[in-house]
Amino acid sequence: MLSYLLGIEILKLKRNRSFWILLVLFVLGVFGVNNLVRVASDANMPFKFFSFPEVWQNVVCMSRFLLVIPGLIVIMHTCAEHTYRTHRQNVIDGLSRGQYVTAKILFIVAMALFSTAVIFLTALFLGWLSGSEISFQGFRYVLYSFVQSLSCMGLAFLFALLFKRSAVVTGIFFSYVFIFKNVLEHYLNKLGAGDFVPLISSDNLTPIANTFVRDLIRHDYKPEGLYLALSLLYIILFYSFCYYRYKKQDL
Amino acid sequence: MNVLTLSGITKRYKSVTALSDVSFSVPEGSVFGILGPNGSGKTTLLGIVTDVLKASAGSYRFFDGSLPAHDLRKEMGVLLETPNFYPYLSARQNLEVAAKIKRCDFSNIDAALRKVDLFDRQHSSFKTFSLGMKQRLAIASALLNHPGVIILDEPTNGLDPEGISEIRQLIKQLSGEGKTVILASHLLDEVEKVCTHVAVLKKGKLLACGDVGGALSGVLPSGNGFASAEKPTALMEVGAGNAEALANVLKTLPGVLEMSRSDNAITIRHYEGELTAEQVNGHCFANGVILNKLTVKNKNLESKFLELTK
Repeated sequence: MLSYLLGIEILKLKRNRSFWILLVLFVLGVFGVNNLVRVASDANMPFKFFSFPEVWQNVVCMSRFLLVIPGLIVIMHTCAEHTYRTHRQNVIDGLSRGQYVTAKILFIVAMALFSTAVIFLTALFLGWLSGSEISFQGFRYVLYSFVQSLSCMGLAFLFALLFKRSAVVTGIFFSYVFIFKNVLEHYLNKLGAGDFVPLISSDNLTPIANTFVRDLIRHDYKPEGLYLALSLLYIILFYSFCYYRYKKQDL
Repeated sequence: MNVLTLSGITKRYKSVTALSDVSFSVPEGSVFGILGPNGSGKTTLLGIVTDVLKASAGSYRFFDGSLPAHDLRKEMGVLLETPNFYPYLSARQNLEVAAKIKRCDFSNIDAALRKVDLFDRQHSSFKTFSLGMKQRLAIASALLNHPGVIILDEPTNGLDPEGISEIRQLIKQLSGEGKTVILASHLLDEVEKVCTHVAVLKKGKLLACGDVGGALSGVLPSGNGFASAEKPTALMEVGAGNAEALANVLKTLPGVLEMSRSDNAITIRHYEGELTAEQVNGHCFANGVILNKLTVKNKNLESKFLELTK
């Protein structure tokens, strides 16, 4: 059943040029941004920013804002189904509503695995370039990247479902990720609840490894377990809401 | 056995009731027309039975209801409203998506494309298609899995006269093969020409339901919510060079219940059997009006439909 549903999504997307362009942009972006930081830090800092084992954490930290690109792919794909009313057609042709939304979630999981793999390979390559001895200490941060991908794409999926029109959803999503998320955190921090803001909790899973740089940004990080629990909670909420909504609403 | 059974289907949109307590059954092997003016709830009804809309109340089942509806939909051919396809995919690639969902062999695609005369355009992207071609592709998609039940909503929309005729032939052919066709249309002529059974909707309410023969005789089978005690009426269409003079003469013709004018003709309604073409022609001629058109409309669904929905 899983391969059947994922196979349908692949048929829809494999000839979609926008999908491939965004995917390539993401790969180039992850490698390009991290390599740029490597070159700059090698020239200006007294330590190697991307040597093992810190490379896992730092590459994930540097790459997390690029996860908006997979988010954009989710928005593009979901909104196109609404615009062309093909989500209705899929159900008419014989998918149950539950299968339709499960297919979308499977696609998102596949995208999250892909983005995690890109980040892993980038970290491995940059770590190797640094000349340090390979180490998998701190590899859990790569797994946290998977959680971050699911969170980011989950929110994109939710917005796409709620607001439907691609341009509107993209605007709202980018505004939230780059502006309102931080504004909300700022105000909720006064109540001690800034860490509970969606996507902030998953961002905080992977602060920068270097303590000197990290302390410049923030020094009162809460336990990793709390951020992980909050991130997983949001993931469950995002996808459950989408699933429920697709099951109940008129298409 | 009934292919589809509706029980008390109601659909509300805030203050608007699009369907109100609609119940009827579609017998296996029938060509079942769902007839009604625009906005009567035909598409909403088909939307509910294809699960793209949720009923506010009531239920439906296909066959005996023992199999999940979505699995049964895979075995059906459905064309609802406008064709919905991925614009960046070609005709063939779009049918591949449909075939994958229906779990049918991709080798069926060639035959389906040939049937609707799109085989030569199979590699053209959907967004380059005319409305008629899009409609034909949707019909190809509906026929992909050799369905036993076909649901068509306004299938001749956007087609040229040849295409309309082909669709009628196709429906008759499918019916001849023992398949059940459920056809929603506001085109009375379309329903009259191909359907064996009919349900008439107006403002979301079921006004009549039964076999077309029953409907045309003016008395529909009981138990379907309709039985007419009134005398059945029929229509006649007449035309003349001087439409004003014709209208004045027709006003004096006994037996005319009402008249309506269109561009070049006047349609008169009369009780069935109480007015003949000879009487109309003779009356007009005697009053100095030469007719250039006189059409006795077949004892028809149109007059019944107008009575029911007026």
